[in-house]
Amino acid sequence: MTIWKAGGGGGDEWFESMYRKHYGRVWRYFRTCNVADDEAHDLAQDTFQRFYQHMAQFRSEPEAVWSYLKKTAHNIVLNRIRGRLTQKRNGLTVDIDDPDLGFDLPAPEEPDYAEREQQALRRNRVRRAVAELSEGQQQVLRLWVQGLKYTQIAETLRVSVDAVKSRLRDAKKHLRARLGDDR
Amino acid sequence: MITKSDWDTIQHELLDVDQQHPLGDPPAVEEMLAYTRGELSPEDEERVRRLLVLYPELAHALTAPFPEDDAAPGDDGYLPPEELNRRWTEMRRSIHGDGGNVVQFWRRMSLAAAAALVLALGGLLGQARWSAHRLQAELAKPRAASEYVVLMPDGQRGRPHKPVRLAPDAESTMIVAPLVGPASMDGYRLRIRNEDGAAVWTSGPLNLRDDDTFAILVPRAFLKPGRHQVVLYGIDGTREEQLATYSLTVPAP
Repeated sequence: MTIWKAGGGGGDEWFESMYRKHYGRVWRYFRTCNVADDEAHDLAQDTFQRFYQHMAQFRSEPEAVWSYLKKTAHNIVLNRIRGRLTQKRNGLTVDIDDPDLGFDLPAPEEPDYAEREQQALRRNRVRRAVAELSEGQQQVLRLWVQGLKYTQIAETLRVSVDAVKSRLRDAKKHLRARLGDDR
Repeated sequence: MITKSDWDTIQHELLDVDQQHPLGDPPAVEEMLAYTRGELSPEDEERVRRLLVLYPELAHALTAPFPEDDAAPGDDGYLPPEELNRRWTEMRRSIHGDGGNVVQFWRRMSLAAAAALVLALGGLLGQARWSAHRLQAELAKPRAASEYVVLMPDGQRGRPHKPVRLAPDAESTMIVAPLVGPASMDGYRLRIRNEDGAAVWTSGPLNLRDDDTFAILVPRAFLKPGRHQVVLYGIDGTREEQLATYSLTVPAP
């Protein structure tokens, strides 16, 4: 079996129609996962290359194509992100194109001693306030500061959206109380 | 009030790198998917939950919704027709054979396979999980008469293909087979056939590794001289589907 031969006689014209119909959404999905535009195109092409090999089974049920593409794209992006995280953690490589690899900006002008002292005290107060949060509140807060939506946090922690909102509200309330927020 | 500087401190505190190491590597993809389906034990579920919080990029990718509508012109993520045409041209080229693109693809796979994980061969070795780092360290150690080959799938359109030829004096060979086909199958299996077409070895169910390859360690004594074929199967429920074949030649000693 050749690499790019479509299984079972699927036509290129039909494949092109599916490609044009779904490519944009697949590409946008990868961007939603914080993949850079060019890499998102590469991953989208991978997704359709895999679909091409099995498209014959979908000729009689084209409505199943989108489900297949979603599942394939989902696995591809999870594998890609996991692989990158594992490499970083093990210190194997640093990708020169890694968006996290950057140059240090020039150091800001040093504040005076008294101001630095105040900042250090403030940071310690913040640290203690965070440490006093429950594990559940810390988990919600951690995902929330990373930009995940309530529904995503709920799905990640396998709790209800109401529970997410409640924990986040309580966490912020505690932090305000400890840090002196009047709002 | 909570200032921006406070939020920076909070974020740093929550993402303290020093706290990450005890929990380990990110969860496997299969584990994450099982977690979302509620199929894990309570202990594993708690472990995966903590890891997802620790690696929020994965949590985000795991739960990010798919766009169900097309973006309109002017929207973020809108793909202009000319860009779509360009991408289709690339796809068509890869389908119908362009040596450069295919060579690049397989070159990238070969480089990735250099850090592939090792799987057991039948009952000779226990199945073990090797990190890429450990594999590289092991491969860097002196070892007597062994080799490492990356197989190419048979039948690439437009390119002459000769079977990989193993070294005549290697005691054992680490054979790496890149995935051809979907990464979303329930599992995979490898089978080695001799030149008569008879199966001489069949693996148990295998999981796809992070770099989309499978690796098996084959003692040379196991393979008689002649042509052999490694066959990759995808497992979907109870069905097995042949995905690719990879030919190799074993020389006489």
